[in-house]
Amino acid sequence: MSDSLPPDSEQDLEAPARLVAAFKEGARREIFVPATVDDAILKAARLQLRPPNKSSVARWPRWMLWPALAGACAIVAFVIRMERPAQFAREDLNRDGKVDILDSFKLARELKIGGSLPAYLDANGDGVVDARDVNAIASRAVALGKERPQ
Amino acid sequence: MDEHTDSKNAVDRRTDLQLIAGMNGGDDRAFEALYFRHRDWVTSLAFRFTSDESLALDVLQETFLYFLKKFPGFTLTAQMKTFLYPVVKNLSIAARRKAERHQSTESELEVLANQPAEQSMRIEAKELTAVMAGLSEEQREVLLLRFVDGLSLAEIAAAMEIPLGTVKSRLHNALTALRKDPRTKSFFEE
Amino acid sequence: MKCWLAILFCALATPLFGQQAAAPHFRAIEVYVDSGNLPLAAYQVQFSVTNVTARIVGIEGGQHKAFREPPFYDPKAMQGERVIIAAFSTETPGHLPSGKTRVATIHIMTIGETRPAFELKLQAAADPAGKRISATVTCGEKPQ
Repeated sequence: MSDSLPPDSEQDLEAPARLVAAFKEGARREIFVPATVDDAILKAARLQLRPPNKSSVARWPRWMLWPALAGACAIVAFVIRMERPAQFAREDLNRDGKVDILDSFKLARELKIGGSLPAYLDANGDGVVDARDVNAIASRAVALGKERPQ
Repeated sequence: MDEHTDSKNAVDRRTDLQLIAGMNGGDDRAFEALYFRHRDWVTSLAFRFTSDESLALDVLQETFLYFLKKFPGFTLTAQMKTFLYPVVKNLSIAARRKAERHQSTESELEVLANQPAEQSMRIEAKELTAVMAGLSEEQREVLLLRFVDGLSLAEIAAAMEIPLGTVKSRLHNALTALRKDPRTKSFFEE
Repeated sequence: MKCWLAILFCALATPLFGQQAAAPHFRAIEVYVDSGNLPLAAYQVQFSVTNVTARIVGIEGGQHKAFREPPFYDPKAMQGERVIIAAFSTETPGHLPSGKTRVATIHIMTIGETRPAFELKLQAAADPAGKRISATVTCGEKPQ
């Protein structure tokens, strides 16, 4: 269908709520982003954004700075295949620095969508990623820990 | 009734403009907030163009690495989605070429045209997907940007780098086609 | 024999029932989360009794179908004064509650007449996509 003159009425360009909901459902596809991808990008950001120390600048010749940055970006791009870094807990699936019900919820949603899931999501270490891992993460989220009520 | 309230929201409330100002000042935590705010949308959009999860993740990384290289000194003159959309689209084309799965023309990026409807989708949504496969790629893009990604008409025009009138025409024609098709006309009936 | 048993029972029961001030009270505390106009898909709340001796003796689910099952909690919280409850639902937005909804009922036993005071902390609330949302948590004793 070719482009014609624009319509006079903006109302012609609105869609009923049911149709919008159907658009969203049809386009819905939650892609699981592994933590290693997030880490690679965040590392590149730290390298790119943080101002260098005066002392480190004094040590590096200027002509080496850009190739070094480009090399660092290339290196962190390969971090995809590296294991999850130690500063995030294994169960912290949404990488927000804490293990809570939202991590369990995230895995539950992934299981509902279906498909194969990475082995590092095996929270209970039984070799299978399933609802038991969801429960294991939830149990950790609500654990009272060493504190005891008085 | 005894009431004890506490609301807690760990989400960064700074606007995109404020976060970019932070990034220009060397604040990598500002980037982190911006990244997680737009990450899922970028990935979803990349998947719409590539129909491949691995390629979508590659495009996600390349998009943000491309974005980072503009700092310091970057100025945001539109909404983030408007800025990111052409970047994601062009990187998706490049990723598809590299994967050698399709010929190198934009018209072959058939957004959603060949994706089988997911088993869990309701019948209505499946019908809609089937009808949308019959629209032109440009009309599908405009529909999705408007009703799934929530961009305004002006933002769509800026993102797609086409006149506002063209956006309106494509949207109008696409909605007319949906209104007329027997499989989707019920959406327009009260 | 029966006489001796009766005397023994009275001797043991007197500390519990002999004085009105030390009588145990069972209370049902309803916990509400208000997510405004956004659908609530997940929550995590820490609940504790702050001013009296109390024991948590039971936890029930909420009023909406999405949260009707009892939430996750640490079994060690039973017989204690603090618990973290959490639940989620993978239902579509149309099948999730919004606004103020009762997500759980916590049953406690207190000793004495002093009205218990509670502390609540909303540790997480999220929409169906898992994104954190603003919400408020409140509680109130269910009328007996």
